[in-house]
Amino acid sequence: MFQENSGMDEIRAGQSEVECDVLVIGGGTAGPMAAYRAKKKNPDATVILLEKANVKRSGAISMGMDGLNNAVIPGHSTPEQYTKEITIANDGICDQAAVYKYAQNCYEIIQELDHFGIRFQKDENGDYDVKKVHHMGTYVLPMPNGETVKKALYRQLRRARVLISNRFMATRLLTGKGGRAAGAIAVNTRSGEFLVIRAKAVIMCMGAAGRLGLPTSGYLYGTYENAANSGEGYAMAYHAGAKLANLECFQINPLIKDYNGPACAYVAGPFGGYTANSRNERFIECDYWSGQMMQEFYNELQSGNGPVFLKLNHLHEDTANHIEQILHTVERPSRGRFHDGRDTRYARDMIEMHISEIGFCSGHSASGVYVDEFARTTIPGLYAAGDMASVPHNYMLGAFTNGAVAGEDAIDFSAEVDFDEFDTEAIDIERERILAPTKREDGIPPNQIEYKVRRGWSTTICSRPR
Amino acid sequence: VTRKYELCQARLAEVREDMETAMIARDAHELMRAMEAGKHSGLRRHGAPLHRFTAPKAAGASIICASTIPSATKRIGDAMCFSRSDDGAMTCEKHPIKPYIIPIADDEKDAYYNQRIKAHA
Repeated sequence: MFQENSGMDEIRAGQSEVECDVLVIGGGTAGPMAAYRAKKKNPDATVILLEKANVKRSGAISMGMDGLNNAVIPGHSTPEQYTKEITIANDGICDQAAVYKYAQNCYEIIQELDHFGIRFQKDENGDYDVKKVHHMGTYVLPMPNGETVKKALYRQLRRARVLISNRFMATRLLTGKGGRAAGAIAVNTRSGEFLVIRAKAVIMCMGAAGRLGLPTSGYLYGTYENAANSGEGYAMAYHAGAKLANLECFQINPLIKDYNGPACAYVAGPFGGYTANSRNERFIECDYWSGQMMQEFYNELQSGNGPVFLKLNHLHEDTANHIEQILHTVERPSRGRFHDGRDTRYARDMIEMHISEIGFCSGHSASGVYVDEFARTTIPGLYAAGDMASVPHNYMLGAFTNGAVAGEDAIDFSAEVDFDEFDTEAIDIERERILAPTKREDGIPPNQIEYKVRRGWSTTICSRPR
Repeated sequence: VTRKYELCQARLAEVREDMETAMIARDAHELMRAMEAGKHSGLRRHGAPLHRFTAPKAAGASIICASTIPSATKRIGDAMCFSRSDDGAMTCEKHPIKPYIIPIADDEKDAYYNQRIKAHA
C-alpha cells in the first residue's frame, strides 16, 4: 500500500538474487576500504558493497573529516605507546590484540590514503604535523582538505571494479546450515524491492547505534553520531547469533549545547582552546575524550560551577577565526549556521557545552560486535569493522585500518569455502515482517514509534537506577 | 532486578506491541524508517539490563569502571558479553579480558584518573 501522489517512491513487489564471494554491508568508512582491499587482494573475486544511501556521500564521514584522531606515526609515537594509552583511557577494559594490530597497521593506511589524494598536514620539512591532544601520547593529524575523503575513496572503488549496490538496506543476515555466514537480505529504500545476496563471507560495516538515545534538543536526527547510523548492524549481528561485547561501555560526548556536534578538542586543543567552567577556569588537564574526562565534565555541571564552556576567546582573533573556519566547513557545515543564528563568535564568546545523548559506538567507546584482531566475529565468515566493532577509540582511521584487515581476511576465507546452504523460509518470514507496515490501512507512523523507543531509552534505561 | 527495570520492560513491551501490530508505512521512505525503528526496538533488549550498570553519576565512557569498580586492580577484570541463544532469548555472560600484550605499570593505571585541576585558592 502506498499513498498516491505523495511525492515519495511507491513500494513495488519484486525480488532479485545475486551471489558474491564477499559481501560488504555499509559504504561509509570501513566498508569501502574492506571492499577495496578484498578486491585488490583477489581481483578475480566478486565483491559487492551494499549501501542504504549512496556510497559517494554516505556514512559518518559523508562531509569529510578535520583530521585523524589516532595516527600512530613513526617518530611521534609507537604502537606500544598507543596500545597502552588506549587501555588506560578505556579503564583497562580492552582486549589489546585488536588495538595493537590497528596501531601497527595504521601508518600504512595513512600512506595509502595520502596516495589516494587525501592530504594530511605536513610541517616545513615535509613530515606529518602531528599534534598532542591525548593525555599521554601524540596522535592527532590535521587534514586540510578532509572534505575530499569520500570522493577519493569512491574513485578507488570504481578503479578496483567493486560492485556497488546503492539504496539497499540490509535487514537480516542469512546464516547457513553449517553455522557460517551465508549472505544477507536487503530491501531497496526507494522501491521496497527485495534483494537476496548469497555470499561466502560477509563484512558488516554499518556504523554506530547513533540514533538510539534522544538528544536533549528533542530532534530525532539531531544526534551526535551520524543519524543514518541507526544501529541495524548491532541488531542484525545479534539476531544472527554473534556476540556483542562491552555494551556497558556506552558513549556520552561533550558537545555544543543545543547543537549536537562535538566540541572538537582535537581541533581547538592544539591551538590553545580548552574546556572551562563558568568562572573561566580550566578544570581538567586533558580534553581528550575518555570516561574520566566525561565524569569530570559531569561533576563540574553538578558542582555549581557550571555551565561548562569551550573557551577560545582568549586566543588571538585570527586563531579563533581559523578554528571556526575548520570546524564550520568540513565535518559539520551546519555548525556555522547554528552559531550565526545565535550570533556567537569563537573569538568573542564562550561557547556553552553540554552532554550528548547515549549511544553505542565503538568508534569511541568499546561497545560493539565482538571481534578479534582479524575483525572476525564469533560466527565463521562474519566480520565487523568500523564503529560497530568492539575496538575502543577507533575513529575514522580505525575504521579504515580494520576495514582493510577485514577485507583481506574475508577474501582469504571465501577462497577456502563454498556457499553455505540456508533455509529459504527465512526469506519469506523476513519479507512478511518487513512489509507488514505497508499492508495496514491506518496506524502509527514510524517516526512516532521511534520517538517512543528513544525516549524510553533516555528516560528509563539510561537514567539513574531506582 | 530493580523497580526501574520492571517499568522499563513494561514500557518497551508496549512499544513493541505497537510496532508489530499498528506501525504503518505509506511509502518507501516510511518503510525505511519502519525498518530502522525495528532495529531500535531490537537494541532495547540489550539496553534494558544495562541500566543496572548506569552510574549514579551518569557519565563516562566506561561507566562500569568509573562507578562500580573502585580499585585499580579490579578495573582490569571482565567485560560483559551478550548474545542470542537458540530459543531467541538474550544471554549475558562475562567475557574475560585477554592477558595484556603491552603491560601496564602500576603507576600508569591511574593516569586518566588524575586529570582534575585542583581548585584555585
